[in-house]
Amino acid sequence: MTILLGPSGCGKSTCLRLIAGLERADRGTITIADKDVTAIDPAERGIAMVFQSYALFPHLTVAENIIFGLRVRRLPKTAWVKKLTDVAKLVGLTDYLERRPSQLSGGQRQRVALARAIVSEKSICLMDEPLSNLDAQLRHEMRLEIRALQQRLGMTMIYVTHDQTEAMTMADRIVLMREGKIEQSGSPSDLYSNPASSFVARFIGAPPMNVISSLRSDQWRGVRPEHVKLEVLNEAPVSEPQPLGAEGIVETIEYLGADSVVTLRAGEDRLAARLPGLQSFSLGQAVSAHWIPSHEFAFDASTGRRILYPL
Amino acid sequence: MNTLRLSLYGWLMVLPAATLLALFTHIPVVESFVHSFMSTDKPKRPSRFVGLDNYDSLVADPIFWKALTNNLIYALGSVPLSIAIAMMMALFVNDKLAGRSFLRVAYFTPTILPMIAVANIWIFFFTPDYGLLEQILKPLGLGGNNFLGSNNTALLAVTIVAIWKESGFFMIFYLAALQQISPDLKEAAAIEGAGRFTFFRRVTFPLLMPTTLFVMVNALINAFRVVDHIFVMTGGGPNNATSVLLFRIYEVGFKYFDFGLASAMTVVLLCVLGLVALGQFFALDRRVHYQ
Repeated sequence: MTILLGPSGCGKSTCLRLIAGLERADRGTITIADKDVTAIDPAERGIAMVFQSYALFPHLTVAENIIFGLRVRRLPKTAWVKKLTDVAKLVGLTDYLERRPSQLSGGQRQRVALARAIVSEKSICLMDEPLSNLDAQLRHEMRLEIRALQQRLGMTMIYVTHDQTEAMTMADRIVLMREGKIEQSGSPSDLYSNPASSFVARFIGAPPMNVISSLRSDQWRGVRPEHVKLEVLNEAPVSEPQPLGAEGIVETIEYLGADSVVTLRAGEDRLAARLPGLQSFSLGQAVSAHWIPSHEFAFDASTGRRILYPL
Repeated sequence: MNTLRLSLYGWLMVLPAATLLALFTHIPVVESFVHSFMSTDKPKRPSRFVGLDNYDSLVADPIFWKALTNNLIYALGSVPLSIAIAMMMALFVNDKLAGRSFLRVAYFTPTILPMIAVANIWIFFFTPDYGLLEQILKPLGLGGNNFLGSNNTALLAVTIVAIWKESGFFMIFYLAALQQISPDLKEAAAIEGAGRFTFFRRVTFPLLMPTTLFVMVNALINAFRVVDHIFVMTGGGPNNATSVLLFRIYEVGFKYFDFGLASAMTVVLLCVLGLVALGQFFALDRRVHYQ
């Protein structure tokens, strides 16, 4: 399961549409399973696709929608009846087969689109922001369901999203894109613990990684909010800031239940700290922030690329 | 009290429209129905109840049967063709192609022309010897036709004019309907391996059914209603070859002043139209998917 992740307009959907053959490539080649498919029709690429809008045929019933492709390929009824019942059971639509899409909820429509992709038995399933039209609760459920289905059926999935939570929880491999280029590609834990650039570092993780520019002129220093510890300053602020710490005043406190995010203003920089439980800091209080060296990242201030062995 | 006031308020609101509708539609319909059982008012013999006499003479009138048959041929010829052409034109100008807006306007132009003007244009096309069609056919050795003056071709000629005029109008409805269809559907179908024709047959055409029903009802009603060009082009001739119901009603009513007979024909026309509309709704409603 590969997830194309990136901010809106970074080219991830275009990339997916190129793989599907819905967009024509100006140059370069697209290869699926060692076969050059650059000039081949979408139908012959061995792919199935789930659209953001689901693209269900409004005049057809759920069952007819699911088997649309099978009937286009003129499969006899005996061949698809079993497939239809199996896939309907798999996605939990057995009782809804005679309904039309307009009589279904968002989550059910999503399942129909999914069933249509599964029943085609193509080796690759492309998904273009399939969960973005669902509410938060349903999105969470469908996330788990899609991942479970993908594992059970052993499908290759290429999944486009701008939601880093979706990417982190579902992906075997994340391809993070920015302005049409791949910024970094790797496993979720790779991207989290070894970001290749400050962009990756700030895109993955919530709240995003703190990037501090005021410590050195040629480097940015990054540290994740969950690695920052805070201490109340009782004396006057130390004149020289410590290399692995900063001082500032508390600007906001967000209480999230299990933990709280405390934001400091330290000179030109803002620094967030994720701390357990309810915190007793007060707004405007002077505090010092510190972290251990192994949690610190260094980035080139001009390119944003990671510096692995900073001086 | 409150509901009474509310319903009074409602009735007052619909009164202007209802009055006009009653005055110019419902009352004339009832009047025609009544008149169809009365003899025609003459100076020496005032109108009196004659029962089914008017209908008897209608059944005995060969020109009435000729007009009815002509009208059916005219409707069956013009309706399916103009709908098919409208749908094709709409599909064509819905695609991405250069000069699309120009083509759309070009297809729509016949609709904005008055029927009388259209008739004049086509009179030129059909003119014997030097008309447009003759000029094309003569070099091919197929000249010497008098399209509007011949028993065999006159009805065909006026049918063609109707198709030419109506298609562009119906195209607009199809175009609007086509633009309601999400482009995702086409892409989803393409991935499933549906070609252009399969997509049209299994998706576009069924999704256009509500429009087709609407257009078909209108086209059929127009086939019995819009006959202006027949007045200009043939005057019902030659030898009643292009006489249709409405034209015949006009002739009987306002040339021969036989209002009784004309009323009886009007009732027949209304029944035909009513049956057509009912039949279409019942026959097609089950096959139409409304979104």
